[in-house]
Amino acid sequence: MILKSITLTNFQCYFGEVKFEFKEGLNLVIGDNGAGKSKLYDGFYWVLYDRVFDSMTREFQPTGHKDIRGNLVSDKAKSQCEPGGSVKTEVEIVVFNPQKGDEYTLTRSYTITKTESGTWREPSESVQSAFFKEKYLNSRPVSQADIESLRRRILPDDVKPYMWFQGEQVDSLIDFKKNDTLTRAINVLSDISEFDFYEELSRKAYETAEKEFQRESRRVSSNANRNDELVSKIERLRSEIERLEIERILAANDLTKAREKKDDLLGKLEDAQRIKELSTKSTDLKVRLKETDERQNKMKAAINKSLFTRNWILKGAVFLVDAYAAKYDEYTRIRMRKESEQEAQKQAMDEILKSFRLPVDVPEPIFIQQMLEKERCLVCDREAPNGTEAYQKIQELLDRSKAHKQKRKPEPVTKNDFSNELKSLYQNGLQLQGTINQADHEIKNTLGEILELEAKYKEIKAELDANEQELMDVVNASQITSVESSLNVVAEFQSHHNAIIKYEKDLQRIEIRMEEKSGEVKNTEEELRSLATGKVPKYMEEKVQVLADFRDIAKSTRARVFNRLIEQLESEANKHFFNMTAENKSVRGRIKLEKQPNDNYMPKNLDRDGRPLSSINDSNIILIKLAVIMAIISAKRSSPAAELYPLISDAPTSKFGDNYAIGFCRAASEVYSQSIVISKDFYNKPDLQNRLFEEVGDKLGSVYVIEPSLSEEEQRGHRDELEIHITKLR
Amino acid sequence: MEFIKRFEDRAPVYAKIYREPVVDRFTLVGGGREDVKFETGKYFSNVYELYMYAAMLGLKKDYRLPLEDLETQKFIEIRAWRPAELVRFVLMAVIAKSDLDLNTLEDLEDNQVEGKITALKDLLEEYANGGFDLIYTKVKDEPYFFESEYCFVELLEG
Amino acid sequence: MTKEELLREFLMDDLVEQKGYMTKEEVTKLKFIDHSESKLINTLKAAILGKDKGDSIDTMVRKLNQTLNK
Repeated sequence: MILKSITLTNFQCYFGEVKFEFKEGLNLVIGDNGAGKSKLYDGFYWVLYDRVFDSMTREFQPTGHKDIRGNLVSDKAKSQCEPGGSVKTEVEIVVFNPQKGDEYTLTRSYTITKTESGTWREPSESVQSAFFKEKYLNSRPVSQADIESLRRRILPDDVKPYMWFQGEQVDSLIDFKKNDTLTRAINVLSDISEFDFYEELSRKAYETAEKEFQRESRRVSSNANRNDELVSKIERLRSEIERLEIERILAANDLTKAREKKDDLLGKLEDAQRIKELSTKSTDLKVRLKETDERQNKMKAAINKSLFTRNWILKGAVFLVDAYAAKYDEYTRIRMRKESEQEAQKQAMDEILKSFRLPVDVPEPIFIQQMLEKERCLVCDREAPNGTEAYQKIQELLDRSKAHKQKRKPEPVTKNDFSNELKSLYQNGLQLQGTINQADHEIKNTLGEILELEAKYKEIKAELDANEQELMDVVNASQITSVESSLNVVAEFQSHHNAIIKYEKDLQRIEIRMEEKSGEVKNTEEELRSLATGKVPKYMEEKVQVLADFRDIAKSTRARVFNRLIEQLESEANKHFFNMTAENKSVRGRIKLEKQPNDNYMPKNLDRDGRPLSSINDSNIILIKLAVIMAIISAKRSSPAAELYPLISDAPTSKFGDNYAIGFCRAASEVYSQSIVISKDFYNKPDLQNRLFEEVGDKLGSVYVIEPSLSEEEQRGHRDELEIHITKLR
Repeated sequence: MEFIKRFEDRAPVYAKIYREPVVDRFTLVGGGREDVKFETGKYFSNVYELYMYAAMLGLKKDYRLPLEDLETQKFIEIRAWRPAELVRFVLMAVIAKSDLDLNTLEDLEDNQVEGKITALKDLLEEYANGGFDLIYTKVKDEPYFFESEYCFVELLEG
Repeated sequence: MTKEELLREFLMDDLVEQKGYMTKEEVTKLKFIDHSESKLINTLKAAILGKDKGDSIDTMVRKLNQTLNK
């Protein structure tokens, strides 16, 4: 079946009639967020199943659901409707059977009416109709009764989940932690439930035969008491085995869960360790950065202080000292000359003084004064009248004393004496002169050091930025929500590890006990049989044996078939996995679906030699799931679903990078005879589009770009102006 | 009578036009701790530091600018400036640059000496004014120049 | 899976050979229609045919017992 076209009329955001035509191969509908991608997917779903996706409940809801009803109809169409009028929304798909040339048209419509008061009458049901057109013949309506079977021909229920799905469903569609995920998948491949039937049948048949045999052996037994003892012993043992089995299942479940958690954490642990390393490095770098910054700032802050504390302000000011020195030199020279002139005068006076024989103040000035008054020398007792030479000599003695007193206190050279102050300025200048020359050197060194620190700061900052970026990347790529929680991962990992050891021991203990009990049962049964040997009819013995064998074979066959299908699924999934990840060097290895103690299967990523590779991150797990989904369809041997039915997928690779989107589309083009991929990955990326077109080659069908008339923000509050424009690229 | 001491009793002024673009911008007016100065992006702890800087700049570049009838701003007497040896260097430099005859100075009457001190103070103000003008011109012409921590060291170059 | 394939699927089990019913080689040549004296094979055939008829498990248990009561 090939989906030839879908026509949406006033359906949700699609105003008016919008028709998409598809071909065999990979069809692509490209659109940004809010461009109507999901509504297109809804269109397919609604026409077949009368349901659309409800973003409130995150589930597909029927037309009659209160959140769906009126919302099915384009707001723009509604806004243009007059009171009393009605608006019809309709989706029509045309399906084509290329082998026979038959064509089916399937339509669903829903009409709402505007009352005179402006409210809407919204019926709870939609109307479905279908037409069948055989090659070369006119089309004729399909009866309502046959529409259901037509629907199943277009898309059988068992493959439906794996053929039509939205990106966000992938995770729950293949949930490895749920027991029935792979069983359901395996059932699509082959009817494994058939083997469940034989298992149950054989077990029940054996039990009836066993009871019959026991009754008979008791009846004919040579020792009825012993027989009863043995029978009740067997019963007791069996109920104990049953109890142990429950215990075993519980322990196996616990063990599986602990292993799953440990595996989950193993990935996280690697990430956590990396995160720890990176965050330690970040902390270290931050400390170094801070130190460098502080040193730098300290130096920078000190620079201006150094202008004053280390006299940098005087840089290049030596000439001022020289200028002052010159001035001061001149000053001191003149001053010295003045002083020496004064000194000469003083010396002349001294010469005079030296000419007297008597020392100064001998006789004392008061006696001399008396002598002058009496006009008589009292030393030699001779007359010395005033005006005589003798009187003059006495007078000179008095002057000599005065002169001597004056000698002790010399006359100042100038009116003011600033010489000490001027000298101290000079000395200060000289002292600082030494530091001026040093300042040049210091400034150069300090600036050099600062530049070095600045360079170092930049270097550390760059390293820190890179480290932080890597840290963010690892945190984002891992399932660890924050750096802090990474630290708990290690502890949690250890606790799961310990739990595994405990559960493994429990399981082992239980299994040993079960084996012991089974052995006891077998021995007791043998003894019981020996009591009746030759007495119970042979056919009855044979019957029990044959049915016991049937039971064992049925059980083991089911397990064998299941494992084989798993292997088949695994190898098929690996083909798609390789195909999808061809461009991604980061994804290596192959998928291994590994059986868990509780019979679940968990995917592992193994290298060529079967050694587990690093953990599976979020993108990879979705990729594995997509590969499994493709495998379920491609491995189905009984009916080639991939050839018979179209894949319709809305945003399957929304969580991935560009390479994955290409990988998925290429794989889809190879697996399915027709696929319709609705995606935003290629929106506004002509290079990526061209790469895809080239890689898919002649398996490329139609390519559409859908764009809303209003941006996502504009759509709020203006939905009654919204319509979708489509452009056919190929 | 003491000469330098008298000089140090004087409080030189600067042109008010530099108050906002230069003094307030680069100085922690009223003084303050070193870390505050750095954090607030100031370069000088006191107005006198900036004043001495400006004076030295003017002296070194031999650039004096008369204050004439410009409105002026007083701040603090020279004796309060620190560090002392630099203050004395500045005074020394001003004296060196002046036409003051130190020998005749000593023979002047007190009031005449005061007159000479006033002349020296005026000279100091003119050199500082020159320095302020150099800084202000740089601020106007190369505003980014002063974003570097060592701008004032650099400004001393050449 | 055809009934014959299903029968072979059961008989290919290791237990069949271990318990001496048939070798794997014999199983590959086996036809559903082939007459067999083996009670196991006949039981399996009865089960396979019974399921296809849509008999309930209880009915089939009774039929299997009947087949083996000889």
